[in-house]
Amino acid sequence: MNKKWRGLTEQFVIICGIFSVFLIVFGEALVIPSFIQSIGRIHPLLLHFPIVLVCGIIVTEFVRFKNKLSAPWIEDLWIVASAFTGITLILGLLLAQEPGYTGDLLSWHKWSAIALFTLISAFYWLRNTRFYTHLSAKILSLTLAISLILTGHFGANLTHGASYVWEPMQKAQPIKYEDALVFKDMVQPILHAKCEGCHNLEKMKAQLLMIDEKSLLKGGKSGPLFIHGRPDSSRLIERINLLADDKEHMPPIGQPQLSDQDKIILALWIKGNATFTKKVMQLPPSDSLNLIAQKIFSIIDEEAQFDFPAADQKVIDTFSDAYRTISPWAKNSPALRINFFQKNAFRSNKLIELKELKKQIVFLSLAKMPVKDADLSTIANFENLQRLDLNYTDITSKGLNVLQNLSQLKSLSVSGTQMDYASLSASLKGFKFLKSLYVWDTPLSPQDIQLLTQNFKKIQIVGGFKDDGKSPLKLNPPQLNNPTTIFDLQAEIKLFHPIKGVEIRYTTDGTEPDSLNSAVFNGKMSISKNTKIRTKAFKTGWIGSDEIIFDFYACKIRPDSIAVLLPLNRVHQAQAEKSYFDRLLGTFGANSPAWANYWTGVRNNNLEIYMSFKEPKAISTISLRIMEELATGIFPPESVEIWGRNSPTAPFKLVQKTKPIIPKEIRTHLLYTVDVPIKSKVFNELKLIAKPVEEIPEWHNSKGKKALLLVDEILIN
Amino acid sequence: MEKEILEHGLNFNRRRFLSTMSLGLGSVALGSLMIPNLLNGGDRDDSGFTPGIPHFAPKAKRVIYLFQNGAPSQLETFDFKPKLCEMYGMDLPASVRGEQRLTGMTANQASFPLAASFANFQKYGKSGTFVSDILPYTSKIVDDICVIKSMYTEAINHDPALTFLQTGSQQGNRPSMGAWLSYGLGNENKNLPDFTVLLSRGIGNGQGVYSKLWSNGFLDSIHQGVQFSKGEDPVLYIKDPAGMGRKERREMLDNLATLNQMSYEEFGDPEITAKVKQYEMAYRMQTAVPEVMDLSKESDDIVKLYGPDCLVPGTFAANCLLARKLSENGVRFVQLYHQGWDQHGNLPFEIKSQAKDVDQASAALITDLKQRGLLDETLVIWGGEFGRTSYSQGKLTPENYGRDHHPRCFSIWMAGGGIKPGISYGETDELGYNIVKNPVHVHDFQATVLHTLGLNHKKLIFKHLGRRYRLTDISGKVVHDILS
Repeated sequence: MNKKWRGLTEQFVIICGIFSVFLIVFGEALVIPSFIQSIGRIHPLLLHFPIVLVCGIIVTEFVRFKNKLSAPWIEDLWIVASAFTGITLILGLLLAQEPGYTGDLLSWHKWSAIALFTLISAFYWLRNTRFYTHLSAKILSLTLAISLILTGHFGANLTHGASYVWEPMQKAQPIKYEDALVFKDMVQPILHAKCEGCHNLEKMKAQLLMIDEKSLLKGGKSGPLFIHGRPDSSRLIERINLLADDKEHMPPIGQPQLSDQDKIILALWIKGNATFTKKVMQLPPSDSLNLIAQKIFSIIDEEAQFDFPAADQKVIDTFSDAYRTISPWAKNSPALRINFFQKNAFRSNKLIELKELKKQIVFLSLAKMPVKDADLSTIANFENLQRLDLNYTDITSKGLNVLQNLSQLKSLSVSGTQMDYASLSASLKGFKFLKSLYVWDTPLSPQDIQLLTQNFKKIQIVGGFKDDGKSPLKLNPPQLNNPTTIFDLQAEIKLFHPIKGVEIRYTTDGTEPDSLNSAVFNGKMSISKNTKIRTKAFKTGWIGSDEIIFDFYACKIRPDSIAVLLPLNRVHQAQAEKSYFDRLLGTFGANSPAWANYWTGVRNNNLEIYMSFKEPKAISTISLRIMEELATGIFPPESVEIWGRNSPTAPFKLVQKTKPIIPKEIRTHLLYTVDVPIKSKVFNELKLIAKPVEEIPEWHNSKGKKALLLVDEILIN
Repeated sequence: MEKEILEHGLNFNRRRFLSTMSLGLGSVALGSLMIPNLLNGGDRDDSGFTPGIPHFAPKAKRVIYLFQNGAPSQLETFDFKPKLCEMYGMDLPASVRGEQRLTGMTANQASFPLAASFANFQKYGKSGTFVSDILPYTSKIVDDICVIKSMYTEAINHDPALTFLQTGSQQGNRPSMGAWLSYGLGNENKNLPDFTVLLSRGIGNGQGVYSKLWSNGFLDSIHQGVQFSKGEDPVLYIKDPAGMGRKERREMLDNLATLNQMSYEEFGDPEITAKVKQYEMAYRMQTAVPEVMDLSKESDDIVKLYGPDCLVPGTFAANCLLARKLSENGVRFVQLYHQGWDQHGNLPFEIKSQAKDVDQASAALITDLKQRGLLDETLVIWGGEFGRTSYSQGKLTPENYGRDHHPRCFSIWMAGGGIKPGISYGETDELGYNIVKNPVHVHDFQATVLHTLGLNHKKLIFKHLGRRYRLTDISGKVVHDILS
């Protein structure tokens, strides 16, 4: 900095000093024009510059003599720091003129800042005098540091509130819904977070305090804050609901704004006569404020509150294994859940070991374990047990007595165990706290359960489902265990039903089976020719099943090679030529894999298949298994021709041509074979030509269009 | 090989460097950023997350999700709209439809005739819940379930909608709900997978179900859903090969574990430990699975309760029975899919048969869990991926009509652990087209499911490729109104 600049800066510092004195002395009497007010508001922005600069001079001054610092930049630093401190001070004094800044905090801030400015500017000149020594430099830098910290601290408290810094570290205790107060826990937190910043004892903008009941009732410069019961006419509600760019809108732009829920809570609070004392619980259950409160406050689950100490993790780890899992109820909860698995792994001792955790076991599942009555006395020690699952264990109702002392036990499951009415009823008398008891699938009769329900009104007794035979169900039809229904010479029929004791009846003569006259399937049945097996299942106490039909087909001869000569439809390729002798039959329903994967189809050209045999074969019939689904335009073929020859050079000759009957009216879908009889002729090579219906007949919706022909298997006998 | 060794060295050094660098003051600051309560001392609140432990006390411990794949029509099941009878055949007012996009299947339809339900509705139970007569068994358990009529989703086609419901994203590759639960809650039974999947199909128009729906996504592969199939080997590849005894298998696994441990020490890849755990579980599953899958010991009452089909493997009824058995044995999440609910046409016939497939067994599952004292701790969910339009797709005739996809509203029910029984929640307008009260978004639903299990959906997170992922993505709020 050259001399000229330094001179100017020095003069500026002096002017600052004079102006400050003027403001300090006459401040109260001055009326500040609005443009000056704006300048004053730059104070919080500008103050960071002098802080940095003063830090600089504190450090350099502290080590000045030791390190023999005497560079001219240090002088510059001093005068610039002094100038910035001065201008910040003036702006601060102007800001303090604004209404709302009062209180001790402000004067502490003001006077420590004045002290700081005075010290810096004075010692800018004094620090180069003779009297100024090594020691004075140290004292000065420490004093400067203290003033700087104090000024900054008071200023920050003024702007952000005294608890600003530590607030995030202070842990809020979750408030229970049961304890929550309308004002203290719902309204005040909003005021605290969004309003108190400006309307506190230190700042009191618009002469309004919003810190407690008294100040809220008092109101501010322009009158009371609200009228009890009338949010619409209350100033508070009006101001917070003004548009954000309105001058009067509160909180001012740039400050944290109220959320919609905040606004609703404030309005509802005033509507409900602005109570300062009521508990949320005292509001009517349907009250909107009450409903909001239920969402805000945790409704503490009593069952999940435990006051016993947590177990040592090492102990837990020692007892955990693959067949006895121990897991915490929840994070930070001392309660434990213990589940036993796998019958063979259970020993009484595995239960006794758990005594070390007797306080912490809250949930215990021993379902299906070979637990005996004797083991229950071990369980009786688990003093905090709430749920006990003993389903399908070997216990009896007599053994339950020992559990009576478990004062926390709320739910007990003994489904599938040996319960008898007399001893269970006797035991239950001692259970004072039990809420639910599960006794399904026990020897107890429905009457017993009814009696128990009557005698123990406090306990919910669940008897579960027991078939009374009044609404019999329909059986499902028999199933077939044969992998395929196509056979070479002979087939063992394996009918089967998943429900024990079911009688399977069947016919092979095409008549409908019934429960009286039809043959009963005895496990042994074999056939050697094409057979339609119609079958139903029957059992007493059930309604007989629907009929199911299994078509068995013989196919004695298979070609050694096969080729499809004309293209199949793009979407009806199935497994191409492999489809015809794979013994996999298609079915209905486009969703079935057997539909998509087993049916080959043609529409625009004939189905033409070439087959050859290494040895000449005597053939009597060739059949095509087809689907007919008239509604969707799937028709039987118009004609099927068989051509044959015995030597590769000879031309094919037409052996037989069949014209299946084309239906005359719509009928339900069907699966059947189209048979072409060939009077036992011998062939080396065959060609099969099936012609799809060229024009769908008049009676059909799609008349005139080409029909689809679907074939899943060829049978040669 | 040399290259791998070199890379391993480099990796190791880089890791070392980063970990040393973060020591000192920096690590305290960083640590306190990542563990917000580091400087707060011991804290009882539920921030921070330890995989395998619920955030707060759970009501439900396990979930059985009866997914009705293809989207059952809400108008023929739970959402009774008498107004549709009055307005039968009239065009859906354009004001109701608004700007909604339609699927390619009905977008070009000249008219949108409103179709009343062919099924009749009645109020059932003490709760007076409306149920249609195609679900006679469900109508008997209404006092145990909570029907949500105001579900809505963002997707309009099956696969994205299904993926959205299951994984929280329409695109896939994220962990499925079951995988998240396995990650969040850990296993109860170490002898069975945490997350199992059972498939069945009805005769109705079906839609695909793919294994991506039970994917572990970016979570450890141990959380992946395991499909139990109907054949002789319900879980593939867990049987010992012919000639191998139990003892040999044990020795083989022990030796393998030693080798794996060596390579883990060298490379430090966590997937190696995951693999060892999986081998061990598979070994234990060899005994546990046949036991669970054995239906031969079920009593006559159980067969009558679930219906005779429960003994026919691969049916919905059998899967429900299995679901109960798996859940009872500590499986966290049993996911069923029943296909065939996509009634674009021929609705009256197809939906009746679909309903018949699932009605008795779904209701039976609730009764069965209840009589064993397990309903309180098991959450059962029944529903599809979206709803169906109140106008007919294709020709509307007195006997027949169809309904197109409708993401704006659909009905599901939930029951058991932590859910208020015997209530209906949410409302749609008179035409069953838009929601007028208490909408529940898919993410809200997911948040609620996690809540019943003691998990905070905002805290169940996994960091992957630089981003923290949640099942509920970046939204979702717990529907407290339906919680007990």
